[in-house]
Amino acid sequence: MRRWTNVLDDRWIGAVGVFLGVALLAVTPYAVRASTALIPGTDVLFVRGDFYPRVTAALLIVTGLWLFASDWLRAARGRRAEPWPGRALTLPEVVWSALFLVGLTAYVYLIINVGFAIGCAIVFVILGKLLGGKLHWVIVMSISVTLAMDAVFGLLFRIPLPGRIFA
Amino acid sequence: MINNIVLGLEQIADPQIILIIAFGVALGLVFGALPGLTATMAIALVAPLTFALEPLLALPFLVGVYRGGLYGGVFTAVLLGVPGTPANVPTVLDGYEMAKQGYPQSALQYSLFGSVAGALFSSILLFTIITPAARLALAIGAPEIFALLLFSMTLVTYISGARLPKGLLAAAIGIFLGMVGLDPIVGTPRFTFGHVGLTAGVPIIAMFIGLFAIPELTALVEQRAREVYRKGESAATAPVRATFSAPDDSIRLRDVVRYYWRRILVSAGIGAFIGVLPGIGSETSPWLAYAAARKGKHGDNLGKGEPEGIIASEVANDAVVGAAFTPLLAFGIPGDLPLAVMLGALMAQGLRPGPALVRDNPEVLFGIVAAVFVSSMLLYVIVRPLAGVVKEVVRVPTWVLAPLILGLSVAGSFGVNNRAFDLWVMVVFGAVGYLMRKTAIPLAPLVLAFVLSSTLETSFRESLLLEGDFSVFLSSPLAIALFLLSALVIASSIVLDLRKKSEELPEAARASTERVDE
Repeated sequence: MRRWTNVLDDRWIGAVGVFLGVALLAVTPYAVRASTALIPGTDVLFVRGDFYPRVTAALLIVTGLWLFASDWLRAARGRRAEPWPGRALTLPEVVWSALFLVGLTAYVYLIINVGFAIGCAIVFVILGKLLGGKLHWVIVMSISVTLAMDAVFGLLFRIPLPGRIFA
Repeated sequence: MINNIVLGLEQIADPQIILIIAFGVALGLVFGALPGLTATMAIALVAPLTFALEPLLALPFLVGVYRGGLYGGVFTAVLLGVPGTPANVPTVLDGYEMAKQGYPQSALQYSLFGSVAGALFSSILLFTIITPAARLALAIGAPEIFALLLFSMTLVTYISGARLPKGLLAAAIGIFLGMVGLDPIVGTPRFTFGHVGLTAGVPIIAMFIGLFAIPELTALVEQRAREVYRKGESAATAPVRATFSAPDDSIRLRDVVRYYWRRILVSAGIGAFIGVLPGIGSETSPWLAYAAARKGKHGDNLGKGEPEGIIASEVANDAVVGAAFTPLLAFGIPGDLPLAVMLGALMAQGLRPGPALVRDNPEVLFGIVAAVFVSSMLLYVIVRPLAGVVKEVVRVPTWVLAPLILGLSVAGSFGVNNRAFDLWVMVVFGAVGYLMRKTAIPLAPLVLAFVLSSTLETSFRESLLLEGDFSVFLSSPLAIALFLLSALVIASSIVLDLRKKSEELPEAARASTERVDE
């Protein structure tokens, strides 16, 4: 089985940090409309709204570059990458996780458009089967948990979930 | 001080409140016992359910969930050799070993007695120091608050367990996320991109549920992927489940106190000291206490089922709790990660811990303090009868557990603001949390920086409004001391990191030599 090591390593994370920092600096003039709203009698540079985002952006860029550079130097000196259990990804794990996150997005879409009860019932069956349950027990579990949650959240805590059975 | 203690106890001297604390402890126990769930997740998932309750019902309930959640991890640690929470890792070393030797009941009881001892110690300590801490909180101004928050953030990155750049990057991302919403001084929208849903900032509970619960679900899915593609390997690596072969291996509380009172006091002191330091979590104190136990009389037996190892770890673990509430309630700085989530719940109730709470709602503040004390006592009362039930809970199969967590996550995220936007926030941060886990970026700095970001910025800009320049931060001795401490923390972290790298050099050289020889 193929093993992917260093699929997501520090160099990528450093690049993300730099990107975030640059993006933050770029959108700051758009985002901070208070740049002209001066407070009388104060130093303009430090008190207006865009100073703090600029400092945060600088911190993001510095730490991103630091991470980026330190890992490149580490690799150049022939040292092993920092061991971390979550790093060693296999292809099936990546695919299953990605599918799960896509499924989660579909689940939220279902809940919003079809309703909490139906969305839960469908998704719980798929998830339960994916995780190794026998189909008939998974269906029983899905219906029981959906009804229980609908009752608890809808009736007891009065949360207006879309498409409740116990309204 | 006595008046404040009486005030606090008066607030919760109501059977309804005592019952809700007990229910919270029981619920937290179940959450903590379930593999993969933590006290932090428990609070994030149940917090939305408390928003319909009054503060003096909601907050004691969350305190109970926290208390139960911290202890619940002991069950998987002792019975399965899997720590329920990071703070239970030292308990595995001796607890699981003792259980494998045929004394699981003793191991659980040593843990229970240790937890209750630590919890009571820190609760009494909290009662003692909360009043002077509250007075100090009222006496300090914006520059001191800014310095204290900055110090907390540096401490968090120091002990985050990962390299300093990753901790700082996580903190910077947390600060950025905290800026989304309205400018705290001028009130204009920032980084909302015109979206109404972001006007009040990133929804905190949905974000926490996404960061903590969704990656756990993906971990369960990945575990299943491994099982499917590695059939045949799983039997060899399956953990040995402890069986209850010894019918009567129970121990008595008075024997534990008589033989281990010194260890209890030392470990409680370590836990309380760590807990009071803002930003440092309960994961650190059990290890420090365990290390101290290694130097004790039975140090050589640690790791072989020695009761002192279990007691040291669990006393320190629970001693953190009461102490960690001190910086939260007095200064608004969460003592550890579950309290950061609880801070979000407090803010959603319209309460802002810190000097404002001390001044405007002292009955709520001392009510929470009293709830911490009462939950410590209730822990013993509840765990004894429920232990049998919880032992079965750890056997819940993954295909039942995962849908439960998913359903709770969705209902909890939606229930805060009753809008679909929060569900999408949960999904986005679920992906973010997954990526952070895979790339070893710690969550603690991000979460703590996020909850502290607003107060950090407000205190910074209010300080500058006082004088108009940076000299305001040099006018306070406390602020100067805290800035120097922050610089020291960062400098020592860099030095430790460099020293670790220089120790790796001979290993790398040896490894490359071996490769050449091959």
